[in-house]
Amino acid sequence: MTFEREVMAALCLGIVWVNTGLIVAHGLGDFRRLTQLRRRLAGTVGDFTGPPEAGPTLRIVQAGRTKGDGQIHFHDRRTEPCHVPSGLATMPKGEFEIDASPEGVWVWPTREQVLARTRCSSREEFDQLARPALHARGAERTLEVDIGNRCKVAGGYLEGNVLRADRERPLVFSADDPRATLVGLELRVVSVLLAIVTVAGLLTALCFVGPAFGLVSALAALGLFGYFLLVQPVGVWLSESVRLPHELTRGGSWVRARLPG
Amino acid sequence: MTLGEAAARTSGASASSASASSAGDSSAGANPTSARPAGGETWLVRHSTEWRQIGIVTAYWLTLSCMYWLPSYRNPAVLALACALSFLNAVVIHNHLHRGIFHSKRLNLIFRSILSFGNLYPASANIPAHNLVHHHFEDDGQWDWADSRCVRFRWNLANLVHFPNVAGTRTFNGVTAWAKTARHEGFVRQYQTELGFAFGLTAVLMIFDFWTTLFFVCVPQLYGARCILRINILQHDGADISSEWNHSRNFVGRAFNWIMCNNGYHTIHHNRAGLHWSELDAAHRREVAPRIAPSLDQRSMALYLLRTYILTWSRPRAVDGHAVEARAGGIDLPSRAERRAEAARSAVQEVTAPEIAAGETQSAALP
Repeated sequence: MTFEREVMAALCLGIVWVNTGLIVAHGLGDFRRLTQLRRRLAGTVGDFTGPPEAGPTLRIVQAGRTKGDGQIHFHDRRTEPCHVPSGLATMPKGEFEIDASPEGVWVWPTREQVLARTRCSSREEFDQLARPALHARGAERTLEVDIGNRCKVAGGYLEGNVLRADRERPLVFSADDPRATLVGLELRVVSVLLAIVTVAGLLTALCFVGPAFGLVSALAALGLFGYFLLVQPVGVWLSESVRLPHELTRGGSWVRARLPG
Repeated sequence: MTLGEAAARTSGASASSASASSAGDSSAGANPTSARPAGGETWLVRHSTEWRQIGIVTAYWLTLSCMYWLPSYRNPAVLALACALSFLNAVVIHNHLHRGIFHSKRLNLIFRSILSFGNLYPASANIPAHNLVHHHFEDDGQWDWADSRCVRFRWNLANLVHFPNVAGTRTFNGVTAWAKTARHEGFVRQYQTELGFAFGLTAVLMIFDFWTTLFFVCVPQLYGARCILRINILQHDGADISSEWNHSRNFVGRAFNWIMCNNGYHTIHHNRAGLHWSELDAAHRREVAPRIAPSLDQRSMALYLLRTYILTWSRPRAVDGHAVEARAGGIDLPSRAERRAEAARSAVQEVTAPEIAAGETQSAALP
């Protein structure tokens, strides 16, 4: 008994669609997590006002490494909240004092706030880091991103007139409205998943255009082969890009030639 | 941990292994370059058992060739055989990247390209991905790129099927990041050569006969590549990676391990990365068996797959490795850092072109 091409084609299409289904299901898991958090935060979003000297701060610890080619590549070691000021939260239910330890706090800076702290300002700054970055362990740097003493606050739990937080009921300090942030991430998940299914569907449909195993069909099969190899990194990218802002891996690079004097 | 650092630290590992040896444990911390396992060196290859690995790869290429050139061989049995051999090809990649098969470094590099075609990925990716990162687990505070926790479906079979989609990408992202800062021009050159050979030869075959290549070459290639990634979840999911002897699941059937070149013995491979694969069965019985939870010592991989992924819906509960080891008593084992250095040392030996491997002085950073 030899395999007919039709049987093998059906087998290959099956493999592509099973894996597409799993990647979509993985993405839907991320979507569900975001939606659940948005629902949990609903009705708790308020304004935070803290002392003027420092606002909630996210600490990002990175290792920078170079092979001496004028580029330093950064790799995140850990991200954690490092400063949670006491202050006042104006929430739908009234005004509350905040008393939260860093373990129960998530700090969500904007992309611009992080970029402003991670950017390299000059070649001198680059050269200063480049030498230790040549070492195997890399040059560790700690960035503290302060989101300001006026920001949004959501979540936590009330104990009398005090807003508290723990690991299960975290308090979110966010530069932007956290609901908008979460909706943006949900939309990204949905749009990418729709794109994945659309591309797979179109290429599958093309496989059946024209004579069986003809030119169009072969080109579509080649496209599906490429799709199969590429949809996996797309799925991982999606999952990593819709992490919550305090969990995001930032990485980044400095290129000496692009820096001023 | 870096290659250079690892090389420097290996002297410490060797010292420790020497003391272990004097305590009556002849295999402890075997030095991958100087140890000469039973069987001795032979013509062309470093160890007589390497002919089994060469036989596997030859059989795989013959099977692919038969299916490509002779339509009568395009049947379910031969396709299944090709898929099985493709998986074994990936096992050979693993062994070859720990300890090159041939005496000649140049031949070892050429053989890597041949192996790369077999699974459609550059064999050299194993150096950062397996030798340097996987052997660390998360001792450096970072997840292994192929950590079994990167999939989280409640239906465990979905985790098994989906795992390569995530772990493969995480691995290649990691390798790319590593290569950006690793000062081994030879590594990048070799990696690109393997990539070009694997995809180039596949493309040439496609030009001559597209459908046959797609169905009877690419399917086995990718099957093997994805299965070797899945091995990570079989070997570590539900194990206690923070423990000394219960971090891995072993598949200890004799026939299975003959075919698999002893890759079923994973605990001892982690703990004694310098041991030649032909010595793992004896070392497993001597060192691992008394100290491991019975659930991590499986006789049959097929039965384990059936029980864990077909007959059970959810993930297995994790083993408390420390409790098992506390009951088992004293442990004579080099530190985790020394063991990692041993794995890294083999990476130094195999990392790049002969001229670089011989005069290894540079360090290359792990992301």
